[in-house]
Amino acid sequence: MSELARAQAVGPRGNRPKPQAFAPVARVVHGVPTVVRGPLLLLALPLWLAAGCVIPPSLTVDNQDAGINSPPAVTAVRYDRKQYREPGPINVVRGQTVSGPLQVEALDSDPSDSLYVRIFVNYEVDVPTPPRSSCVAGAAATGSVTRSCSADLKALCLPADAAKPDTTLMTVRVFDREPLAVGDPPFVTMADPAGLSTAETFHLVCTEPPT
Amino acid sequence: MTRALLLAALLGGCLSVTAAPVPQCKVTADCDSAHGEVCSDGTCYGNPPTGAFAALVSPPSDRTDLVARQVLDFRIPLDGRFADVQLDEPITYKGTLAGCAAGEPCDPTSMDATITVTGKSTFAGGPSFLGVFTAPAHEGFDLQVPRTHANETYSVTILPGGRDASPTTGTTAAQLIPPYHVNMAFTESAANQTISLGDGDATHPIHTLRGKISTTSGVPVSNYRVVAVGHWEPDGALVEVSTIDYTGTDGTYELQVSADLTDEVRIVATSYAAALRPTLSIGNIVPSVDSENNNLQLPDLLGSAHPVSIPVDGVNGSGVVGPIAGATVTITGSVMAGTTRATIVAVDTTDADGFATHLALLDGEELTASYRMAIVPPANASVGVLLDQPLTFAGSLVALRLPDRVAIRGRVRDHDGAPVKGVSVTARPALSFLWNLHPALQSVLSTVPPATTVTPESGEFIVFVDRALGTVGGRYDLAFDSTSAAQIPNYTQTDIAVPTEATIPAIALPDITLPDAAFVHGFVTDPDGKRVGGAELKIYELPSSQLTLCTQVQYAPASCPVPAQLLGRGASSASGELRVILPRN
Repeated sequence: MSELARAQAVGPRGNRPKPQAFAPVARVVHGVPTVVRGPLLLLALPLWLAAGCVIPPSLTVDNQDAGINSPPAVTAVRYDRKQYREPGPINVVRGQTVSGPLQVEALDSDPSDSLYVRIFVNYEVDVPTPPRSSCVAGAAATGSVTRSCSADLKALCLPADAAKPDTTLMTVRVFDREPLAVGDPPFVTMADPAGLSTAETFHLVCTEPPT
Repeated sequence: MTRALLLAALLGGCLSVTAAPVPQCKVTADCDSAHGEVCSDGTCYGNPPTGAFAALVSPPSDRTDLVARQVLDFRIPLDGRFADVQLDEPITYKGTLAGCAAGEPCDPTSMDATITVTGKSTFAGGPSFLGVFTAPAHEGFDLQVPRTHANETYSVTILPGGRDASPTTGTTAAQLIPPYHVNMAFTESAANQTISLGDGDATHPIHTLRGKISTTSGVPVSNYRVVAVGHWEPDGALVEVSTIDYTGTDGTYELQVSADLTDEVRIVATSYAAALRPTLSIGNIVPSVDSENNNLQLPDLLGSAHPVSIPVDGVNGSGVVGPIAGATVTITGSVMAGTTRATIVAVDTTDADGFATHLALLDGEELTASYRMAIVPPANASVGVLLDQPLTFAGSLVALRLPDRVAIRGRVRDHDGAPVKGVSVTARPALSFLWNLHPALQSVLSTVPPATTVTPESGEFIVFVDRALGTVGGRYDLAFDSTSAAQIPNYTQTDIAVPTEATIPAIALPDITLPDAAFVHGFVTDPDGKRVGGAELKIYELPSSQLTLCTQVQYAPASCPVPAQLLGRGASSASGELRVILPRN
């Protein structure tokens, strides 16, 4: 019994896994020189980082084709006392200095892109006119995909606009590369052909300022 | 040692994966509690700037049942948790417009109109309310406006429809019924209201202005649209205040004008003929009495239409002279014929070769001598505005060279001294510059888009601004706008004077240190107390130096509306919580 008991107590014994680095039969033949240890550590670091870290899934709206740019999206246009949706109208006093800027909020899946906002009035490819206002939403320090900027509307309405309220269209166009004054068509063509843009268009009602 | 290093690297790498901002605190003791800061959700809220504040809360676009509300005395406690901000329900004012043309019974269904409602801000320098509503014929009007408070009224202007540049088939309301203006309080919603236009009475009389357009040699002139312009209020805009008429072969016109006007009116006649003709106008017309013989003269010898092409160049950002695309060329000329001013205005934008080609002018000798050009470059150009340039038809195609702008250079640093990337820098004319300009030059300046740029990694910026306008040296406010994700408040450096000497190409500012951030928060609710997501809150600092500025400038508007300074803004989350970053004192 006692033997059985002993045998039961011990049970079958196999080789347990254990480190062999310090075993007498597994000696280090050559030491790693000090000058090599540093680079090795540096090389190993990315591997450790890649293997050890859980990379969170992207929360961006378009990340299906790696390497292909995706257009920015306008998420909100706010001015004065309202948030606007197409087609508006947006009422602006010419030369205003009080109402404050137009706030454009946009989303771009590449957080390193600065977003260039241009505000056109009655822009046509056949009659391309420069933007009346602009602002830049810089890449966010925290890597956020949402960005915003404030466009000053002081020069948005010109004297002739108040006379034709039924035909004035304001386009808020957001580019992910800087648009150029030259190009075909001008003011909306970007130097980088990979650049993309998105626009929202509003009916603009310009009113004359107080005197 | 090796294992410890690798473990540290592993942990460090994992921590850097997420881009979310590092929490500022776990407990209030981690914050500047001595100055009132409180830790909440990893953010140290509180220690807000001192001063007098106002706020404007506005609803998201999908909440058409709500309107914006101004909070005159917006208080921010030391712990940064401001009281819930409530959006308002609009006052709805519904009804029909009854057009009462002279000699005809009032028709409550047939008139279409545009109704403009404006209200002054409840705090000094705040944004005023502006609502433009259409009232289609047979449908009436449905105004939705913020409720007025004690002693407050809105200015309501009703402009009958059909104010076309040339006559259409049939007679429009604008030809029969003059505009109407009234100051109204909106304290309760109302329906089935009727507003009658054109039925002047003893307290709101309507008068008739008659006249004729003819050439100086006496030939009647047809195809002119005629209207009176004036002011409904002393500091109001110059707008159309009468019916419109179109001259026929006899050149005569007749206008109905409201007498509820503050001063004299001006009669303006605009040509809609195919041939190029000037706009004619006469002033000093008294609207409070019927009057005849308000005649306008079209001068003889204005010459014939002459196409003009204006080349524009300048030194571009690379230091090379080249064509300037996108510049707006405006040519204005006028002559007097008796009491009539005849004015020609031509406007075009330069193409990629720097030419403004779609300009047509009359080439009569007297008119030609009066032509002056103004050229406004596109936004962010390194060349500036060119004013008051004469024009000669016989001249060669020598390009007009726009003057170099002066560069304002600098570097943006955060509160800890590190350069800040991604800050939008915009140079706007300072009020001390704008209001020292003659109103005509203020009008020019209002057409110049502000220069803007964004800082790279180095935090450096450069913006180009005009040295002067006329003889008035330029002064600018530099607005630094960080994205909300950067956790840096907006900041404005005011009243930066630039050198007027062309020999000084740039000024370098000392490093701009953005203020430290003070975080404040609260909730937006509807009138029932339910929280509203997607609403926007703007917090303004009320102006304190208004009187000083208003006495230092020559051409401030009558009310001298020094704008309140927008300190910060934020949009509420889905739960209705607002988080706003303000500059700490």
